Amino acid sequence: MKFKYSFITIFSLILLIFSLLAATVIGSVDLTFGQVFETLFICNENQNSGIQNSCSVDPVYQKIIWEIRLPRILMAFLTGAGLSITGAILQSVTRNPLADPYLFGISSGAALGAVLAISVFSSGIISVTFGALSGGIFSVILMLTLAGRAVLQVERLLLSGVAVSFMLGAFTSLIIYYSDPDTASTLLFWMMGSFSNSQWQDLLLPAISITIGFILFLIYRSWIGAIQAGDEGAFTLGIPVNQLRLMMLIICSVITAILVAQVGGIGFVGLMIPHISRYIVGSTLHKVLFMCVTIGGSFMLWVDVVAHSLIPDQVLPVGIVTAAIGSLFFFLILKSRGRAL
Amino acid sequence: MSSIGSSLNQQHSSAVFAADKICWLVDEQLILDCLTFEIKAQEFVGIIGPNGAGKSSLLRCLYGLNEICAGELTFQNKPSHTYTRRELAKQIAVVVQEPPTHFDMKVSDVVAMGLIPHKSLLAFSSPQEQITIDNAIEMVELSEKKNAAFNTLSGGEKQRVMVARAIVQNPQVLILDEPTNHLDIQHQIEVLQLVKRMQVTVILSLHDLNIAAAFCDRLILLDKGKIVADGSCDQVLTQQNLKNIFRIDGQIDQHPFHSGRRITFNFTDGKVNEI
Amino acid sequence: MKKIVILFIGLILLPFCHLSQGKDDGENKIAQRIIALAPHSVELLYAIGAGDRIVATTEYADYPKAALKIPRVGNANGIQIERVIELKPDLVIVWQGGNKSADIQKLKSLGVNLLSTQPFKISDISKELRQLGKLTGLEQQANKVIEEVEKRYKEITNKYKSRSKVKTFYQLWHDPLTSIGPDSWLESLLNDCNAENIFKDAFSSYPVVSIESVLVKNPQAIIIPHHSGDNDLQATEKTRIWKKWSEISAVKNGHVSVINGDLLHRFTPRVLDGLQTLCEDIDKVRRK
Repeated sequence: MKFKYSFITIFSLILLIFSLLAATVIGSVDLTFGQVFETLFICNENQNSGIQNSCSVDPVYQKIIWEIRLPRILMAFLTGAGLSITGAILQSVTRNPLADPYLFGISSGAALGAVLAISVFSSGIISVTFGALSGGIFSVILMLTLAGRAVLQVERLLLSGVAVSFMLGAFTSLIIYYSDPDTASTLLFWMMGSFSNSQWQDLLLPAISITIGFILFLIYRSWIGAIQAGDEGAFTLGIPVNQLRLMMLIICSVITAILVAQVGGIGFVGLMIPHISRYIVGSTLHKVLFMCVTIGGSFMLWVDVVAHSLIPDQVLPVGIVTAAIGSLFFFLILKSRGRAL
Repeated sequence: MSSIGSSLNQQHSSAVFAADKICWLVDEQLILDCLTFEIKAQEFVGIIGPNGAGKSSLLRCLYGLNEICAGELTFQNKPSHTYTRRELAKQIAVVVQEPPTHFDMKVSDVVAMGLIPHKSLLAFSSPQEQITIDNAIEMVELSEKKNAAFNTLSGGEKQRVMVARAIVQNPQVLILDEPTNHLDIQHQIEVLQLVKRMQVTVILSLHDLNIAAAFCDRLILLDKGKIVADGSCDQVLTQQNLKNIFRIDGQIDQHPFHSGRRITFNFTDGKVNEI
Repeated sequence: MKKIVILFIGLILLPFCHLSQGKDDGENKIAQRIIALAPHSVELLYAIGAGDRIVATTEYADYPKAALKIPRVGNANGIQIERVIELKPDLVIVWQGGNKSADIQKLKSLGVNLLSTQPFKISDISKELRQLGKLTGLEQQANKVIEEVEKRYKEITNKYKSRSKVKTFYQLWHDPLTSIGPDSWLESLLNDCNAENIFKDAFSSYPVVSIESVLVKNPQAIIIPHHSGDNDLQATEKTRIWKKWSEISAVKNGHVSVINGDLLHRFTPRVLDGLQTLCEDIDKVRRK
């Protein structure tokens, strides 16, 4: 809040673009910006066309960029942005600074769904992603049902979410316990989050849901802001508080479920990035949302880079990297500010 | 945007609020029992009574947060429940008892919320709006704190911001639930003077009987969910009512500085006299 | 004060006394009641004729067939310590890489007679057989098996020793993509076939790797082990990844092979069957 807002916005956008480029360049193979640029804009995708073009990049590298890196980093960006804006909205709408996208046990539900898809429906009828998505949505429905008629009371909602989270987590652990070690290792790695297997078609659902969600958040931003000032006050301004809250919860749940189904459980991002954004630009919602997209996206991209390059040739689960970097960040922020976040 | 003083668009003699035997219960318990009263345009009405009498509950019925379980409540000659919340919000502004805590929006953003009932979601802000907001902030004397975070203000300043928000809402009825709780004496008087100048119908609940006597045209005295007295200050603030309802002894005479009553409480040895 | 310090140090060192007892137990008793907490140890005991002395084992002990009838007292998640004690064994064989270290410590602290097993290469099998022979008094049978194993092992490895090295990627698991690193049993098998593990410089024995790094290292052969425990989905997924990466030498030349993982992943004489198939598969690259 010490700097001009437009300066900050541009800076964060530049950061995002830089992060996207950096993530494309860094990896098991270190490419140059030139090669990336050429591949994206100059080289013909269809290498067998026989048409001579001025493309000097090895076809293998081109394939790496298009088939492995681009889908992966776009997924990382979408995940970072999606989890961050979801966290921001949930924190506003529940007036709880500790709210995050996994409030409703979505991560546990998705894990349960994934586990069932792999170990019980093992003939491949149900893909892991579909299982995880169903599980995530199931957990939301379960949470709403548990909260019952009091679903519109924030505290009841939060408690219900915690209960669902624990319950489904217990079932998941149980199934993992009885699986063979290979399946167990697959599931555990999945639960810790990974962008590694992202393909272009995997990006569709997240991109659509996050875009729609973002637009809706922007449309309703004045109402959501008013809810932050108290339910009763918002009511007197003519805002349908309960319906709005429920709608926002559902949108956030859908986005989160879709993301978790694709990439597993990645923590910290949805909780901390909104706080960091607010620290930089204040509490105006559309400013916070924009900053969440740029900072959340950049953060996730760098996390992905670290996960792929910290140990040569090896890949770390993303969730571990976010937790490590995240807790450090959180700690530093707490130290530098006096007051509670 | 029209100026703060609202134009009378209702007939002079019709009531803004008309309540006929309204009741409200919660958890099987009757909080408001068969209340009948009328509030006319531009009246400055004070709701007074001991704790638990049902003052806040009554106000909530008026602005629609509580649903009455019996009786009829009309607002501007139409039954209350036929209005949508948004329609009510365009005409009734409320300053609630507790301003939000842990809330760090800028003051001017908070005041800007008052425009919500009048704006569509997709509308962009206009410079005219900013002028309205700034005017309202000036009226509550917080101009130098326009860009401060809400939670850095004192309790009284927060309350004044909420009043500014209500001003921006440009209502015809202003309902305030114990608005003077957090204010020092100077600001208590200033806020009420400001509200009085607004020339809208004002309904507010108060604890301070002297303030009530100074500002209100009319008082409604509640006790245990029933209306015990309803009329001018002179009619309601009697020694009888002081003793029976407030259970305190006092002396009522002419206030030396304004035209209303003055109430002086009588307690010796720091102990309330046994009635 | 000195006495207290010595006593304190003594107490701390006490548990470590048991560690050295692992391989060479002081008692010269012949073991008659054995609990083998590793499937390969079960197999080895049967090989030297001591199968009937096994009173309990863990899940996955499925060879020979008779082993299926042995009562189970544990699985990948842990050992039922109480039952182990209840069965009053003369000898408990624990597997450093396969049993939980907490369980092993517990058994140690209960004073159970332990033998520790953790083979890293095929030549370790002979060592194990020798140990088991001694402990069961069946040295003669053990030596016979050792001789057979070593003979066949030499046959196989000699064949390929002088041939060219084949860069190989061993896909231990597909999701997450896991390979093998230095000091792993499987890498020693690859070395026996004179193949070079492309991840021989990895940081851990079972590294999770990226497709990119496989692409870059461009192996000539890709080995994918298939297990009897795999479900249909897993079986197809394992090979599916590589279909679209014809840039890799192994894929282009058709050297992506699925082999019987059960044989390779066990530290017993049967591994020689697996080794033979593995080396022959890898050799196809040379003969191309």
